Amino acid sequence: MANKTLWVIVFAYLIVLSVLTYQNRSKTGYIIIEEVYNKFELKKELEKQFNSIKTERKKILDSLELDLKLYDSKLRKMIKVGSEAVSLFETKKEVYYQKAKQFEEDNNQTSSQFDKEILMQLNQYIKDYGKEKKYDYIFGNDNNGSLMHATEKNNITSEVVDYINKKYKGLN
Amino acid sequence: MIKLNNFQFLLLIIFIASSCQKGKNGFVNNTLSSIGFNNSDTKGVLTVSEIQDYVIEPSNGLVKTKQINEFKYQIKYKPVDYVIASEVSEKDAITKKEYLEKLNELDGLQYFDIRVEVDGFNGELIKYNLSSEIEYERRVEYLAFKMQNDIKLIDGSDTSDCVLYHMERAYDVVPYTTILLGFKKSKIDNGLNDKTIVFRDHLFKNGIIKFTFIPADIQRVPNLQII
Repeated sequence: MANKTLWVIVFAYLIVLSVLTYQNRSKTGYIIIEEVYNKFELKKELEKQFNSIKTERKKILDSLELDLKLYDSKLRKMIKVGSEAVSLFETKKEVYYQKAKQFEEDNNQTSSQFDKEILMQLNQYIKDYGKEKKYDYIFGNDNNGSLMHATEKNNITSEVVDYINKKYKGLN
Repeated sequence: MIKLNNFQFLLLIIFIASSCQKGKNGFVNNTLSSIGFNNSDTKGVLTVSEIQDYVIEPSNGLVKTKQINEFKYQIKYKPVDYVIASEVSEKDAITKKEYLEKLNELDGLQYFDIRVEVDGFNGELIKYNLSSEIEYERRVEYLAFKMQNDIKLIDGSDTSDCVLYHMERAYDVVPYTTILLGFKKSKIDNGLNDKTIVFRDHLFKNGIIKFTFIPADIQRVPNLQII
């Protein structure tokens, strides 16, 4: 009987030890960065917004281009082109190129500002997820070789996507 | 004295070990829910000070906070009874006549407070990372007149503009800025929709900041006690 009790105590001790060892282990996971980025609601919203801004700018530019082309064809049909008409054509051409350049710069600026905003919130929410779920490390797999191997069970991409979208919506 | 057999003894050990693993969070959560009012599904009645405590208790879901880098955004949904209670906070109770008068003044709008602060910065918020005097003027102008246009309320399928906007300038007294907001109530407010505040932060360029209040948290808010 005493022998049996001793075995039970040893067994129980081993269980407690393994629980404590498990608790002290580093908790790690990885995410597929591209998937998280593409499924992030803020990214989708800003992308839509950016495309609509770009489309509006393109419409303005297309209209200036059409006006320029029509004026050009009008000039070509004229037998004698006066200096005033040439000057007007040059002005229209200048306005078109200036606008095209300005819109290109504006688009680049808007795009980089939106990217900055997306990454800032994305990084923050992933950090929040790590803290809340008590992760020691969350690695990012971006297919550039920084993460060479990880088992699928450590892939937390879909959990992170759910979490960051809830966080962005301000639900949690 | 209860005698345990070997199997029961083992179960006891496993139970103790798993309780240890859960740590103190379980205790904290249990304690919080017993302090908070969120356990009850029935809508109660609270005194002037109790309703103020109820609203600011985070577990009741009417105050939400979001951290983006060093910036902390906090939004508070203010039920009309809470606004009335805040206006008569020096009293313990309110008469029916007073209540109806206040309700008449306040009804028709939905009220929120938004608070912005910067971790570790004790000065006036708009002076944070300031590069020039011109930028300071630009920020003051934005906060006073333009920011209102960057805040919307999505209530079900309706999007409302901010119709009441008041910035509480704190100067250097407190390290945060609070803005009082009001939105027209949706015509078809059946109380079943999420209410989402959408704020486009052009001041510190942190992008779109959203806060969503769920119907369950809004419907559960107790009424103000009337004498």
